[in-house]
This record gives sequence, structure tokens and C-alpha cells, in this order.
Amino acid sequence: MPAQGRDGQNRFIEFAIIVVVVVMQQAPVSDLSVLERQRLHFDWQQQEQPSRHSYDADLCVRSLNSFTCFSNGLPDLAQYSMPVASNFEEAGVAASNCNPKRRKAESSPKSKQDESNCKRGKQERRSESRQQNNRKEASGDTSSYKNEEHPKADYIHVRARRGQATDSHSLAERVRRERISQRMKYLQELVPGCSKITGKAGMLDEIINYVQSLQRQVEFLSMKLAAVNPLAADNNFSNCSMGISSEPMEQPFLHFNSLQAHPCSGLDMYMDSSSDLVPDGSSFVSCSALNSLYGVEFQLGRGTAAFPFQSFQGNLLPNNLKMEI
Amino acid sequence: MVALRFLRALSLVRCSGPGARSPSYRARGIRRAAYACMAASAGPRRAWSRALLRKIRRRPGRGLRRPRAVIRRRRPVGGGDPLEVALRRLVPGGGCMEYCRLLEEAADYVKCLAMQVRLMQTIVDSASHVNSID
Repeated sequence: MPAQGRDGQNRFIEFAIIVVVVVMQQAPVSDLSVLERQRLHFDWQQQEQPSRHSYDADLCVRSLNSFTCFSNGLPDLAQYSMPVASNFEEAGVAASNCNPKRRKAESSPKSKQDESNCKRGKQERRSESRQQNNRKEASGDTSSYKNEEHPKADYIHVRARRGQATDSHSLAERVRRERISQRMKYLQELVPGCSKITGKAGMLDEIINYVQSLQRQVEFLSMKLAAVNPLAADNNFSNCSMGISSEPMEQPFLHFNSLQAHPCSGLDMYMDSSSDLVPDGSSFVSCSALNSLYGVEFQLGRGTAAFPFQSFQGNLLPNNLKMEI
Repeated sequence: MVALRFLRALSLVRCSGPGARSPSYRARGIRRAAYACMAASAGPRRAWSRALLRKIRRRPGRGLRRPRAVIRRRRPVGGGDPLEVALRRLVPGGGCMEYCRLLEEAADYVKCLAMQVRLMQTIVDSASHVNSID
């Protein structure tokens, strides 16, 4: 094993290879682009050294950081160490020239314990070997990475950058930090005027101001609505709408699915009652307003349920019925 | 979806007390209806919508409390960051979430709030437009 390791030493690059163990279920969806890059790079890797131990495709694919390691254009990258071998002792022997490697245990019951041991031990060794040029050591172990073991072990193995800790806590924290930064980026797009601001504190401040201003606007608009529209609703209309509009208030969760179908019947009710209404007692919004309302919804991407209603608009509002102010 | 719900709720608010209520009372009712519609259309999938609906439906003076099936997690959050604390206060249901989740919910809340504001603005505009015609 050490001999094979020294073989691979010729092709070292100056990276410390650390494998981060992350729980699989917490992988955020937005990592897919990174995962795809990983996959491409992994395919390239496979072409380079097919004879070496078989990599677990899923392991490589889900690694977070390794792509940045390879983007420096060092093509003769030796096979990077994949997590967990059963030969923990070998790694201990090759302490001087080894990079901390995670080796996947052949037997999955032992894997977790071995990994934790590996991690701790390798962290120390890594700090020792940091003065040397860290070279990538060909993993001399003959452990084969069984694809079927991976789902059992339930790990995601990612590569961390040089100079970063291998501790499982810090690795999990790093993943968490990345998720937070993704969310912040999304919020940055959402809040207008936030793209110029860099830095978490400024952005958070901007977001808080925006939310406060939106809430103030809601209050102001509700006051305006109350002032502009004195209550002049017709009894018929109120009776018709009571049964329907009370539903969303009372049991939104149980009837959520049924409510998707109800609006059609609600509109039918509106249509039926409109003929009975006296013009000055109606409270329908004018056609143009409804169109603009649907436009608002469409723009904001929630108007999918409103599509079937467009056909109603022509019948819904007779011309003599408008919103009475 | 929100538009329809909100219009219905508006009419409901208007029906509840034609002339007897002060405008401020009506304004409060409209505001509550706005938030309720927003939360109802967002769906039960979002934590903020659930918390908002819970807050709205829990009226003062309602003594009877149904036993909750879901135990709300009251994790004491070490709020060292004043910005984070402020965000938690703003987003409904933000007291018990992790930071990552809080940002997610805040994004969705902002989106829904913006839509609601635009909706109400459109209604007010159309109302004043109709008003100005007469």
C-alpha cells in the first residue's frame, strides 16, 4: 500500500484533500449545478484512471468543493482519495506523506466509527504535514467503493479546500453557511435595490426595511379602502358569498384542495346574483379592474388558478353594474 | 387566487356593518382580511402562513383552546444579532425557526406581501378611477 502510495506521489498537486461528511438529506436543491459539474469532472476522472479503484459516482457527484480544486488546470491529478477504507492503520503508517483521506469502510457498520476516528486522526496529521507541500497521495488501499454501500452509509462526501478544518462540526457549519448565503442571494433578487449592497448586515437591514414598508403599505391601503368604499353591499350578494367566503377563513387546510374547485362555483353564484342586484347596491369590481387584478397575479406567478376565470369575465359583469362608491 | 379570495373577503367585511362602524374599525377588518387571504392562498405548506392564520383566528376573548395535534417547538434562540431578532419579529412564526429556514420563509413572505400590496393598490386605483368618473 505505501508503495502504491508513493507511485501516486509523482502526480501530486498542492492540495490538501479533506473529505467532508454531510448527511445526505440536507443537500440543498441548489447544489445541483455544482453536482452536475462534479459529475462531468468525475466522468473525466473515470476516463483517466479506469483501472484504479472504482469510485462511487454518487460520492463524487455530491461533493461540494472539489471542482474548484481541479479548475487550476492540473490535468494529471491523481485519483483523489475517496472516503473511508477499512485500512485505518495504513493511513496511520503513512502519516508523513499522507493527506488526510477518508476511506469508506468495506463494512458499513464499522464505517461511521472508522470515519470519525479517521477524521480526528487525520486532522492532526494534516496539521503536521501542512508544512510540507501537501501532495495528493494515491490511495493505495484496495478498498473498492461499492455503490450499494453508499445509500446504506448515507453520507455525502465532499472535498474541502486547503487550509480548512476537517472537523465534522465545522464542515456541517460550512454547509450551513453556504445554504444561508444561497438564501441571501435569493432574497437579494427579491428585494428591489438590494443588488448594490454587499455584505450580510446591509442586506438584512434592507430586507427588514422592505418588509416594514410593505406592512405599512398594507395598513395604509386598507385604511384607504375603508375610506373609499363605504359599505353599501346588497343583502343578496352577502348571502350568496357568505357560504363560500367563510370556508377559507374557517378551515383553510382541510378544504384547501376543494377550494381550488370552488371558485368556479363561487363565480357562478356571482353570476346568478348579479341579475338580481340593483345597480346601486352592487359591489362588483369593474371589468378592467378585474383584468388588471389577474394581471397582477399572473405577473407574480400565482395566477395559474385564475386562468379558468377569464372566460367568466364577459358574463360576470353586465355593463350597468360597476363598483359603487 | 388571492384576488378572488380578497374580493370575497372585502365584500364580507363590507357586509358586516354597513353604516354603524367607524372607518378605522373597517380598516382593521380589511387589514385582517388582507392578511388572512394572503396566508390562505399561500397554503399550509409555509410556516409563516400557518402562524399568521393562527394569530388571526385566535381572537381575544376566546377562552376555549383545542388540544393541538402538533407541538410547537419553542426553541430558545440565542438572538445575538439585532438584525436577526428584528427579522424574526417581522416574519410571522419566526421565533422558532432556524436561521436558514427563517430566510426562506422571509423570502416567501416578502413575495406574498408584495403581491398583496399590488392587489390592494389596484383595487384602490380602480375604485378611485370609478369614483372620478361619476
